Amino acid sequence: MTEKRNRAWMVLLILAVSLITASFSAILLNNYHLKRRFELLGTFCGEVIHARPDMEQTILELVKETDGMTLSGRQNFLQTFGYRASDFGQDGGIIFLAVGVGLLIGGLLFFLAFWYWHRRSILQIKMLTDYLEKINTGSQGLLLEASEDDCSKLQDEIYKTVTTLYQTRDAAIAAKNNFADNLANIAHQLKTPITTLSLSVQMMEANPSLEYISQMKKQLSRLTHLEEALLLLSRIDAGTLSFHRSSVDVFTLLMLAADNLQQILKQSGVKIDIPEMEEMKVFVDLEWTMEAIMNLMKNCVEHSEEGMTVHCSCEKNPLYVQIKIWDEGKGFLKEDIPHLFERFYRGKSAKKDSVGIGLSIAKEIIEMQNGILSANNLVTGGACFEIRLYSH
Amino acid sequence: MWKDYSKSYIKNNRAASISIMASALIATLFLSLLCSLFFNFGVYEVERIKLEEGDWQGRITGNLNENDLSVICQFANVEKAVINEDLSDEETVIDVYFQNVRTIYQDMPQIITKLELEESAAEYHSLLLSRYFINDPQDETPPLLLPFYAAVFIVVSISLILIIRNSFEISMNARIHQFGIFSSIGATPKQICICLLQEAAILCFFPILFGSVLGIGISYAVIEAVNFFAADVAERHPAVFQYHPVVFLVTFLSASLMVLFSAWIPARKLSKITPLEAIHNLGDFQLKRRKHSRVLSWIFGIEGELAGNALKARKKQLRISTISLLLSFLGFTIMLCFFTLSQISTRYTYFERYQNAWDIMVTVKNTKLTAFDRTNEVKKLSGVQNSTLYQKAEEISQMTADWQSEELMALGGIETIAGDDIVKEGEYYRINSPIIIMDDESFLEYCSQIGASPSLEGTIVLNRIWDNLNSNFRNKQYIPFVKEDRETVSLYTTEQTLIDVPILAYTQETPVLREEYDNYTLVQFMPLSMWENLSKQMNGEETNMYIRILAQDRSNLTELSRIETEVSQVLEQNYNMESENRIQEKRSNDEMIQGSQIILGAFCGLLAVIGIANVFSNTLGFLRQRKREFAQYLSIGFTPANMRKMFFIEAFVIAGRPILITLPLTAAVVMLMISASYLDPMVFWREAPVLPIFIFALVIVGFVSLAYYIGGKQILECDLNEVLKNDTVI
Amino acid sequence: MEILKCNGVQKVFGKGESQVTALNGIDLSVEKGEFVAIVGASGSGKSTLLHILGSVDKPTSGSVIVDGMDIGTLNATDAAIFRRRKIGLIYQFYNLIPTLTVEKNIVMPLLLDKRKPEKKHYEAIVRTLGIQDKLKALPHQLSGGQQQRVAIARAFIYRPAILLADEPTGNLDQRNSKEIIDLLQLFHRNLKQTILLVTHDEKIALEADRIVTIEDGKIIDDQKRR
Repeated sequence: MTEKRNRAWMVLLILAVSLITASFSAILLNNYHLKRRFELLGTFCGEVIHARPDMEQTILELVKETDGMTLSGRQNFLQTFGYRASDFGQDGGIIFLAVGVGLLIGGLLFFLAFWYWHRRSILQIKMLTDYLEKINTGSQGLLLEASEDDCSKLQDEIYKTVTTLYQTRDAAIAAKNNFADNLANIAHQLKTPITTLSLSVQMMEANPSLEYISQMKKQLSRLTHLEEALLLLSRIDAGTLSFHRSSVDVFTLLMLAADNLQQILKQSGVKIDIPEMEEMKVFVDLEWTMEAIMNLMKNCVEHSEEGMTVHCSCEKNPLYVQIKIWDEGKGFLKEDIPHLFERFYRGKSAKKDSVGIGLSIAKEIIEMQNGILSANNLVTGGACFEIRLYSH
Repeated sequence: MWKDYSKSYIKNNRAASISIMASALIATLFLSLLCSLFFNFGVYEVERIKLEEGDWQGRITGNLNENDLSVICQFANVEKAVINEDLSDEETVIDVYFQNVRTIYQDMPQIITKLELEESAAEYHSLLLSRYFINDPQDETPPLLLPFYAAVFIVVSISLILIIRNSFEISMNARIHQFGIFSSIGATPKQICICLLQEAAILCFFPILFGSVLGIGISYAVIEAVNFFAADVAERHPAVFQYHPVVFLVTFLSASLMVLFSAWIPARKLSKITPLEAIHNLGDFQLKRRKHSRVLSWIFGIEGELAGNALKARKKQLRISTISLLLSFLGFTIMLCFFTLSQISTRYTYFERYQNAWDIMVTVKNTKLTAFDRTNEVKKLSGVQNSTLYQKAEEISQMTADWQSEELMALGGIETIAGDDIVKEGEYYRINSPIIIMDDESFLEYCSQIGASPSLEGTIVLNRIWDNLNSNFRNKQYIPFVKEDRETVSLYTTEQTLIDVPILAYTQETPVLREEYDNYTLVQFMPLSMWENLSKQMNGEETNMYIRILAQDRSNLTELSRIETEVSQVLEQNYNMESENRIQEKRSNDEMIQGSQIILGAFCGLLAVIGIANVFSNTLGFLRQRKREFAQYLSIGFTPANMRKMFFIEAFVIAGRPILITLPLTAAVVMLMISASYLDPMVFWREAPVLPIFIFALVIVGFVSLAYYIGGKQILECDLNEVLKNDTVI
Repeated sequence: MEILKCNGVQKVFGKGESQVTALNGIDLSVEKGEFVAIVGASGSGKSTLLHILGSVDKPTSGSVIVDGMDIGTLNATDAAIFRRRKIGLIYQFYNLIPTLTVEKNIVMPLLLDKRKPEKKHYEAIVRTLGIQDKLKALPHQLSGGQQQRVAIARAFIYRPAILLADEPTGNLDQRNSKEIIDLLQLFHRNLKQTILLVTHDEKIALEADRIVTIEDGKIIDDQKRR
């Protein structure tokens, strides 16, 4: 649109300049023509008067009356004697010269302008090409020109796109590296139960006892649990995890999660305190979000000693709903904090059989529902998880 | 899309836009008014000159015939050539009119050369030509009227530019912050500048158009008013309002240029501001050095000190308003004083001096006193107390150095006094001697008046010379010119031989004539019968002769008019004559002065109005820019009463300063003018335009106060805490 | 990927005896997508650094490369274009244009480049900031927190390489401050936006991924948190 208008303006401008130039040349030409005619008329009259002095008065009168210029209606006197206009055209040289020079300079200027314009766009395109080539071959490119024309806007967008692609590439590489690590981690996680299992099988073979069966059951349940978790992770990574989001009350969410943890709570003697709160709706998938919250609560419970309480709170602002879950334990180790939510990361104080996967699953579930999950230590010493679920 | 910004700015900030539009309107109005008035004045002058002196452009005098006339006509640029029957006697006078009068100074010499005449044969109507702005290229001292007008025009334009510039500056200063924001989000300096200029153009287009038209309307009204007031002035040709599209074009273009120029200055300044400066600039001004305005704080307390500091911190901003105030006040006062002075001066030099020397003056043209044959009839007119017929002749007398009076020698001799006016020839001086030839009867009367023995055989010498060392031209003191011991005075004849004329008496007393005698001349009075003998050898006589009549009833206009008519009846058949009548003359002169006073007064008034408009807009704008400052004062516990006091002090200082500066300046200028014209200061003081100046000063104070009142009211009504808190309040 | 690189940046104000060195050899490198907080007491030079990064001010010596451009060498016009396209600035005092509607204020950087906002992007920003029903209002009709949100929207509209925030919460109460910082975090997370935040408030700085501490014109501490 602006492009078109610019072009229209350009055409108008050129037209205007041409017209003005043409008018000026016309004026100059007219001046020249007048001077020429004046000289000719003067010489001619002078000659005639010189030849016939008595004609002076008549001629002067004629000159004054007709201003020496106006045409009379009669047929051209000279024409009757067979003269033609071209017979008097000896003095056109200077005009032709002027015309020639003008054309030459005009053409040259036009060519120069065109060449400059062309060169400029070629240069710009070349610069962009070089830049993209550099990027493609892996080195960093620099773009130095900034101006207001359309090409520089294109350049800006290309630069921004390239930067984004770079970022995406970095993320992909990181993911790939993670993948290898993850495999190793999985193998490592599989190793313990499988070793225990095979040991138990050997022991059973040697000494069949029910004791081993319960041990094997335990390991199998651990394997099942691991398998479930891995399956979940794979679904998350593949993006096939489907969320059925609906409006859910936060209190309900917390209560359901706590209910599901009844058994562990009983075992560890830790209480979960969910205060009465006003109705606060979040738009999430109930099942998965509950799963995530359960993981967080579980983590809290695991780090609590008997008789301690895990607290929950919730607040809402126009932007998001924030759920906090914290315990009264020792809190996270400082060096653990940046890595808490990494897959298979096990902090120093982790329990022996923890896989290091629950928190990462929780984080991913929250993030997939437009939320963020973060962890920090309270001033009072406990560990605290913060969930923010954004409303848009 | 810059229109997006400007449009919404204009929409959301009506006050600023209106002030810009108003100032553009006012400025254009004045400009248009001035242009239109000047144009009409010019046209009127041309008309007047054409009416009074004829519309010829060039004149050729010489022995010319019909043939030469047709030769003249054949010149390309000559529109027509007419023989002037009135002026032609032995030599023919041809009035020449040109198609393009601009080239008259090239064409006339060509014509003269073609006709083989002397250069002096050509005559130019230079008065008329100068009104077309055509001056003789060889003339080294062209009339200064045009440059004077141009200077006035430029000064007024500058003052108008100040008005507009000021309003733009205010509007833009208020927006420094905004443009800083623009700059910080990436607006280039060029974009900002273009935006501001666009805004100025859009805002001011209609005001300029409207102002131009309104100005034309007002100038029409002014001319009608002048016509109305000057309707009684005798022989005045009424002005007809005229206008030309070119004038409109000039007005419109110069107004547009004015607007763009005044917008461009602050716009350029603004576009160069870095975002950092602009964002930090919230319109606060800091005193660079600690300065105390002791006087103000002593008189008015803390408010005085604050006001003084605020004014000092804004010295630069205030400069324009001070200058404009000063200019308008100074211009107004000096103009008024100048007119008063020149009025007094004319009165002194002309009317008061000759008040009693004549009642009716008759100038008989192309007549020699010796050839005049109606002396008796004139002398016998009824109601005449006394009449003198006289003629002047420019002759030269010879004076030896030792003839000089002792008083003159004591001053250093004639050469010290007269300098270059005297020609020394060996040991003699050639001294200009105007000879007043009087009819015999009057001469005898004069003899008895000065106490000399009545005789017609000789001359009476007016033995006095102006002592210009000890007196000025306004109060001349005379000393005797020559020793009164000689019996004859030698005059040069046409052939440069000397002729001795007997001296009847030396006198210091002049006859009752309306004549002023040239300085450093040896004036002589001679009876007609004596001159008749001399006149064969002398040829210094002027072409015209005069009749001076004193009436019996000198204060009665009808009586004077009656005598005037009678004289005309006696003379008109045979002679070409003109007569003047003292009372009539005085009356029409008074009317002329009155008329010119009306016009000049209107001009002064216009200057005053422009000045006041300037002051008003300046002061109002000055106040608006300081909202934040006032908010701070209020926030530290100033009561509105305190604020009012501060406003009062500021207004007092702003208006008082230019007045205080102007008064001594005006006094100095007036003193200079008085001493240059040798007037008695007391005479001026008695008629000094104290009242109008006082009123003007009051008006200035009033308008500054009004501006402060309006501005102060706006500020006190505005929610100042909001102003302090953030800058989004408009 | 490195998006900002300072090499020995120095800034000296004044001349002769009254010379003040605001920045003394700052070396700083910021990766794309980082959320960096620059903390320091007032007068430590943190705002000067931010102004230099935003090409609003120029370093006395040293080079600053932002998104592949050495911004120390730009003239006034180029610097303006650079700011328009690569930098989003947020100030303590919102600095909105009072006579323009919120909508116009937001899209102004694009209008300056004679472009129109991409509808989806614009709507997403406006919706995220929760100002969709204020678009036709004038800035002074909004609360402080809302004005700052408009300023944030304006800073984001051209998808700048870096968002520079100079004490964005300095003029707001606690609740609004938190909201503004949360929003910055949200943009940082969702759009992978690089953000540099100058503040003297430790608590706000804790929200960032990385905290750079400046004292007397020098970086004395640089720690990554996440």
